Amino acid sequence: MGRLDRILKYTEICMAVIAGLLLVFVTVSMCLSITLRALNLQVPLWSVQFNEYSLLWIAMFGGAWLLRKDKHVSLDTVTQRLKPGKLKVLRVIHASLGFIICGILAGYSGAVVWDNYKRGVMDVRAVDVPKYLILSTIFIGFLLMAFEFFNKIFLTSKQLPKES
Amino acid sequence: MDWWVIFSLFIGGLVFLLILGFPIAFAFLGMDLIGTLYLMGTQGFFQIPLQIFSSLSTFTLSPIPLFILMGELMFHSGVAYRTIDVLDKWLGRLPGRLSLLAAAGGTLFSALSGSTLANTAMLGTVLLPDMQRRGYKPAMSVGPIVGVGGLAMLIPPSSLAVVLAALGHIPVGKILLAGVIPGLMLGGMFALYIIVRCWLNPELAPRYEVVSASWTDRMVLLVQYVFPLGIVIFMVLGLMLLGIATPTEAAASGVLGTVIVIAFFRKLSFEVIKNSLIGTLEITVMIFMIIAASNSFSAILSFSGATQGLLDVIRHLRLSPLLILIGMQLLVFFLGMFMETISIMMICLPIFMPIVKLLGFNPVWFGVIMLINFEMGLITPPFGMLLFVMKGVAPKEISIEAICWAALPFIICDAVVMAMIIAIPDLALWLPAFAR
Repeated sequence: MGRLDRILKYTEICMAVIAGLLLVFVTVSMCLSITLRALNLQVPLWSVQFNEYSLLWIAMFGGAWLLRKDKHVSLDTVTQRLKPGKLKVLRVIHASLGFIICGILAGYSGAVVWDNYKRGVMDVRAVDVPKYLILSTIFIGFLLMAFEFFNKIFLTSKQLPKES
Repeated sequence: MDWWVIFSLFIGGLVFLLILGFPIAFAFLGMDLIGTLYLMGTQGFFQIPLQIFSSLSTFTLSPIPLFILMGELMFHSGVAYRTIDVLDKWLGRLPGRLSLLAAAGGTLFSALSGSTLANTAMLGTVLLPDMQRRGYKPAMSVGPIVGVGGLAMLIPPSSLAVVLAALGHIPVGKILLAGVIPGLMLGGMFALYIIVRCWLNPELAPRYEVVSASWTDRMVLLVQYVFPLGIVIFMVLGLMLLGIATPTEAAASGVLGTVIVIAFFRKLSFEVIKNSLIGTLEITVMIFMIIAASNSFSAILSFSGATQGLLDVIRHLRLSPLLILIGMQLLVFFLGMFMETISIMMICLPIFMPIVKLLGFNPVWFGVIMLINFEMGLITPPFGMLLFVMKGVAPKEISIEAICWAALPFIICDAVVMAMIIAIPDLALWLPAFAR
């Protein structure tokens, strides 16, 4: 499991780096468009379209990385009052629920991607892009999040006997 | 099943998951799955990825990462800290001068960063030790800092205002501009309260000898340290106001301006850029993952008949629109005591916005009122986020109870300004109308 955990960790970091680069792309392309517009030059037509895609991709590529860092915001009203042993049980329940939710979403996203690929659906805008390429990030994102939740189930439940 | 039963189960289930500490984004996605399964069967699951696509691939959301990046760059470079020294030189011998410095500095930082948490932490770290040393009581040390910390939500660049606009289908540029005057009013109200309170009870903020700076020194420092930051503020607010840039372009030029200013102060380094990008990515992904569930959530509320059912109830209530507005704000205030801001937006906006339309309220005006309310939620016990941030940076002898009591007068100031905005909508709507 240690090796799989490492592989997952590095995959998540790679995805987060891509998300970071997309963030830079959004910033630079917007700065470029305002400069071009100020100079009365033509702003690239694809700029808005790919910025919109980037917002989706940033969320999906960064989701699992953030999950590993435990930085998805949650309310700690109840959890902060629990004893460590009970908190770990609750964490296993959280991770199991998260695994089911992300697993279902990954499965159905995969089916939607496959359907769009088979039917050759295009996202018709300034630049026509095959829709399955855009949607596949949702599949990848939820698949990684499902793996990360599964990883959390395994790692947290391994600590349970020691606590009890 | 009646709509209200479905509605109660749906919202109840969500609140249950949130109380159990389940990450908010996945709680919403989970409830989306359950709602879809109940209303449409497993076939409905095929719609969810497409709803996520339409929730996030929206240009309206693009200022969010840029505003966050602006704040992160300011925070990690430490450039904004210097303005505190400059404002300190300008304040002279006013009663409660360090508290006033917190109010002035917080208002200025709010125009440079969209993060209420960073704003509070920064002011607390920089000002609190000096306040403690000079014998300031918590009412005049932590109080003004937590009070003014929340202003970042109202004064642009505010990423939460953009989230509100995106979820409530309100024009982004208008709501950003509409927050300026109420934000400045709040800053002014805080300052007025501090002066009056310290004048009535000087022990709260003991006077101390101030080394007077010459007018030449003051002007030089102002031009050297505050003027460049003024350019950044102009690149966001000014460009939007003049109609030169859209909110996204203004946000991008704000980032560009911030990078130039940081480079000008020789603080731009690979470390600053890397840490700022990581910080931005963390907050952006966290916000976007919650927003990912938004379209499905609204669709389920609508499909179950809950939205229409609630509208029918409101229509038959025979209450004045003002009372309904107050009722909605009381609900948000109550939720704000326990819940995090974006969750409240996600739950309330799909229900409130059709009511706003039905009653003929201006959505921008309504949005500003909501933002002030959210700001109050951040400093309202028992779970106001800024109270805990302050506890984190304050010395151990200041208890959480003392922080809560210190925040109370500032919550009242918020409520007064909110009432003024309700009574005189032009206070919020004048600036957006003035913009080209």
